Amino acid sequence: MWNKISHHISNRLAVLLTLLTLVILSINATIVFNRTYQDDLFQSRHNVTQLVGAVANTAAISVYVRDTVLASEVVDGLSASDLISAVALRANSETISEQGSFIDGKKNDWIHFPLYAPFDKDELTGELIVQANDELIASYANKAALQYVMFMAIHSLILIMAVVLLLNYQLVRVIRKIASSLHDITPGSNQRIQVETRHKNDEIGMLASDINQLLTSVETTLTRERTLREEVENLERRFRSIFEQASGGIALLDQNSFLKVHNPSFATMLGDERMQRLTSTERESLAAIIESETNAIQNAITQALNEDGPISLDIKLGDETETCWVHCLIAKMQDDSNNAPLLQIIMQDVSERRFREQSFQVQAELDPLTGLFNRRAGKAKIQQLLDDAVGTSEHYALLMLDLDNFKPVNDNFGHDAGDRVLMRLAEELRNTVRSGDVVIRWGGDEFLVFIKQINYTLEVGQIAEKLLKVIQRPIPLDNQNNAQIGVSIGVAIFPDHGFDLELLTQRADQAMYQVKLTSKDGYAFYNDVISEKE
Amino acid sequence: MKMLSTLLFIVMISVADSVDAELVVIGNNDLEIRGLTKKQIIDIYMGRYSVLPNGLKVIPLDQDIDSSARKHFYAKLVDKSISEINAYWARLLFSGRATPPRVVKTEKAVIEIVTKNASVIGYIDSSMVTDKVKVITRVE
Repeated sequence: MWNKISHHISNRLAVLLTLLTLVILSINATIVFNRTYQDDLFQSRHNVTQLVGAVANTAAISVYVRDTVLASEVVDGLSASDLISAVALRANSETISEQGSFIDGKKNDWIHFPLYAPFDKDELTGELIVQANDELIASYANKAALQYVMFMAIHSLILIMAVVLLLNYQLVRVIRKIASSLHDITPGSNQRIQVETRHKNDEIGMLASDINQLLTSVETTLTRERTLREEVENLERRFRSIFEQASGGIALLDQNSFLKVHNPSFATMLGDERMQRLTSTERESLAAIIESETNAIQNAITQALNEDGPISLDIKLGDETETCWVHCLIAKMQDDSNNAPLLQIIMQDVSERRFREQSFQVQAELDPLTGLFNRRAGKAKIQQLLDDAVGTSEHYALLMLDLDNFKPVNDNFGHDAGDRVLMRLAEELRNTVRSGDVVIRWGGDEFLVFIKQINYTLEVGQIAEKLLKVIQRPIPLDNQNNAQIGVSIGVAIFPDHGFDLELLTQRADQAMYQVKLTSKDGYAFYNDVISEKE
Repeated sequence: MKMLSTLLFIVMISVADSVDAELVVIGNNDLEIRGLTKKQIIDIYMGRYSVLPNGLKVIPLDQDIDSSARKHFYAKLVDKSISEINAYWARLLFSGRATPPRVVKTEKAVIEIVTKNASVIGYIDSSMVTDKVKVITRVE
């Protein structure tokens, strides 16, 4: 009930005002009632006194002359008044006339009027005793006071009604109107609250104008936010499409190379089995699932965490059947917060390039005719092996081969025949040495053979003999003719005859020339050459 | 100054006039009273008693209603005007318990009635007093 009433300010106000008025009225009414009652009582007493005063002279005369008729006239006259319940006229102790019944219990309420001789104001001749009709007076007073209080109550009630009605009209109705129009306004729209012109400059007008300002600022803010949100969404969509549609694999790892986020390309590159291991409940780190590159990845991550720039490395994925090379860029990512840094890894499939590069390299390194290392690549290869050998006790042999009797083949049977001979010899050479040894086509009809880890001259000599033998085998040129090729071999030993390739080839060359000048179809060590010269 | 002295003179004359009219209460020579108090005279004349405390009945005589003697008498006795005295009696008249004194037209008649009746008293100007009556008291 109260709740229903209290939904409206005016009702609540009316109830509160009524309660307040009742409280004030009850206090006031008590005071006013008592006051009115006392006043009325006093007035009645006063009236009695005045009444008596009007007949006092006559009473005094009647007592003076003991005129009982006159006395009873006075007494009767007084007792006719409602206000008086009993009257007695006494001359000293003798009662001359009496009317009504005096009640001894109310002796205190008896009013005594002294009577003096008409011609001698000093002589007390008697008294007039009046008993006021207190019950009646009290009931009159009560009635008057009650009427007054009733009047006050009605007055207050009318005032409350007037106040509530006025408030309702002046304030509540207007506020309700504002509230309901505010209720209907959608935040962010361009709707505003309208007030009547008479409220333009008062508090209602201020309230409405402030609310409108607030609505405007809400609208502005919402519009701005909407635009911003759309921009952010667009951007986000683009970023996501970049991320998801990127050809390169992109992933976020934590410091221990556990996967946090990845894009589809990343999963494609790693394959289902690896992704399963990366993302399962007992997940493994990226370094752990690429067994062949675990250390390289681990090192790169450590480096990336400690350095500012991205770390790049190529890793080999795939199995025996299908090799796949991936170029990885690993970089540290530190966001604004103080969280542990993350790692971003971008992977690019570089298998094709890698293979192309490899084939380029192979083509560049090999002699197109014989498939042996060309001179430049061969030198680089030997240099590398020599660099590795420095500081060890290994011995290597460098054999310089120069073919004898090759020119006639070219001259008599043509270049194609010569080429076939060279190809055949190259194959023989390759088959004679171990796979780790290096065979180079050094010049037109010159070859260089580099033998690793020899047991000095005896073994080298055996190898040289073997080479002589395979080269001297006749090579069929056509149905009737065979080519009989010889070779002069000069040998230099590392490190005995020199530490660097230049010197070693030079000395092998010298040894070879010695052979060519003296006997042909033989081999010589550089030492022998020196001793012969000396 | 002259005005003031004239005013003063007039006042003195009027005072002299009132002083001049000295009234006395007279009674029969046989009346056995030595003197009456002023209060007793008031009580007798205003109808309170007709019998003195010693048991003697006394009948008062009044002068003509509008006479100056009567006017002076009541003025001196109770300090009341004639109209006030008339009003007083008017109030008592209807009950009949107390009656106003009998009125006698002249002072001579007063003396004559007093002379003939032992219990009657009256008031006259002091100059009119004869040996046929005795002065009971002066009215002052």
